[in-house]
Amino acid sequence: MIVEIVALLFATLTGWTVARRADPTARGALLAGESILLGMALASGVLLLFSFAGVPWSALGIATSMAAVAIAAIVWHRRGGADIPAYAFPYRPATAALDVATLVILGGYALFATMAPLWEFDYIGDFGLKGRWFFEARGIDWNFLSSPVRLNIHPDYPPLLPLAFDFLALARGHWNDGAHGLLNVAWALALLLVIRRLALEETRSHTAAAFVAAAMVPICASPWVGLADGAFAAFGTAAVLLLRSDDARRVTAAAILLGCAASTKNEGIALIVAVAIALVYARRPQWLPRLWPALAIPLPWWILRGSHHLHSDLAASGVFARLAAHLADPTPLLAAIARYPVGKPLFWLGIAVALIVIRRAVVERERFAIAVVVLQFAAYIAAYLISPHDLLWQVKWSWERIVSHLTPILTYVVLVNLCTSIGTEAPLPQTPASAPRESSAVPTTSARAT
Amino acid sequence: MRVRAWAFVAALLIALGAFEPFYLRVYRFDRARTRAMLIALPYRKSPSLRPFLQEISKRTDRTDAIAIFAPLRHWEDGYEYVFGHASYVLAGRPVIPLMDMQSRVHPENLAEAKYVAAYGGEPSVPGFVPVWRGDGGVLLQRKR
Repeated sequence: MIVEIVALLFATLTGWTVARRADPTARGALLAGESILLGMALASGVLLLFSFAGVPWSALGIATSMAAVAIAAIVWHRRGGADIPAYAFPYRPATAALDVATLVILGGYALFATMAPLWEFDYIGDFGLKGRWFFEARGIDWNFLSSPVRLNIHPDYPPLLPLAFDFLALARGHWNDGAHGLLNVAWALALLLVIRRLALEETRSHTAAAFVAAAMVPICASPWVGLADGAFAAFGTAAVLLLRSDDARRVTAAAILLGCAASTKNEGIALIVAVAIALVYARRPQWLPRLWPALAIPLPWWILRGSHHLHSDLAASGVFARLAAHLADPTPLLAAIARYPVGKPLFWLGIAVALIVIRRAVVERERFAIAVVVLQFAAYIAAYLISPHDLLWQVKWSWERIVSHLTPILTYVVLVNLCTSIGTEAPLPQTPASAPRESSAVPTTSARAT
Repeated sequence: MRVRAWAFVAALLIALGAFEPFYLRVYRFDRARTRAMLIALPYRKSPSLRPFLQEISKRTDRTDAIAIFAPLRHWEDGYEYVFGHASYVLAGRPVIPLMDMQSRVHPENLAEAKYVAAYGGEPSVPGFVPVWRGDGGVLLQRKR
């Protein structure tokens, strides 16, 4: 597994150069988290471009191309970085204990995710299957995707995750599905790093931020190892939280991450729409044009899959008839949703209590994030309403997974507001040693310039 | 003060509710046993399928076209399962279905095959002879 870990570190290093260019505010854990996400997205993007250009994949070719992008990003990087006020927050023993708890739980997840060759049915029958065929073909295998007996593998799904598996396989030289669970660990780690830093900026307390991160490990660590849900939640949540932070300098990075989410799952298209509507609702329509990378990144795949006639099963003929039928009698959908639970009751009880406690903050400050969650959830319900499949079957195999896409956003919003309600620590006086020019925290949300 | 207390309770409920003790218990697992269990998990409906396909993979070249036979009448009642797993394990080789998604049998697809991987039975296929037998099935090769 060492080779795959080195490949991930290489991708993270190249992602670091891109993250520094895309997000001038990124520091510390936020920069590390963005680097992991953008590095793996870059690796997948380079593989996709090679495939489009008809160039067979090779480890050397891919690594050289990624290094070239990294060098270009370094050359292009604006000198000086963003002008951000510096704070030094006290790091207490309780903070260290919480950070250690985060690492221990994440370590347990890593043990689980890498214990065996990936076992999920949708890995063997979908994401892993595509990745393995692409790897054997050293490129996107359109004949495989277009085969009439391959309709159940969702050939229209965007390929970021299968290509990420291929990146690891190219580094290894052969298909090693025993190491592919590392990617799930990487998605979870990246999202937790983003959360850790953003929570610190917002709560102004290392202890509060460490608590938020520790509490969210099981929420960020997708139990569906080898499936796209963990990656989608990481890209999508990071994008939404960056936009939520109300800092205009973070829009480009958020838009890129949003584009990566749309390159991971079709649900990313709905997320782009949800974010756009929510920005208007949150009175930030001026940011909409700057979301163009969110569309530009998945666009090549959308064009190519259209040209190869790879369509979503949701678009099968009779969409309006199915919609009308399900709306006329929503009982089967409601019964299916009632039958299959989503997560743990204690957790949802906590969310319910929290929403009552922070109801004012939700109305006044969280319009954007809550609107995204509500709109994306509505999109999922709409997908059920037009689904050509048996609803009970569809809900059984997807309900918990799709709710897991939204849980990290909701949990983060709730926890940081609770921590703010409980109280924050005052920042220590700034010192030259503790606050170098590029090592700083941004002020609270209300004080940030847009 | 009451708001702070409720906020504390809510945060605690969320943290406890989200907590997954499995990620702590996993440190004490018998790794070899758990690994064996997880490897077998995707093949639990047909435990002999995995060793069968691995043997087929070893005994054929990467360019060999392999037709997948299973004595099943419907795509969704098992053939898809066998064909899907075969496609993963034998990835890269032309893996040929002998049934379509509407459960129509297509014996004419045998014309493209160099081998027939017959799982769960030993069919008599004109033009092919058995070259290996295992617990799960038989590998037939086109007569030279």
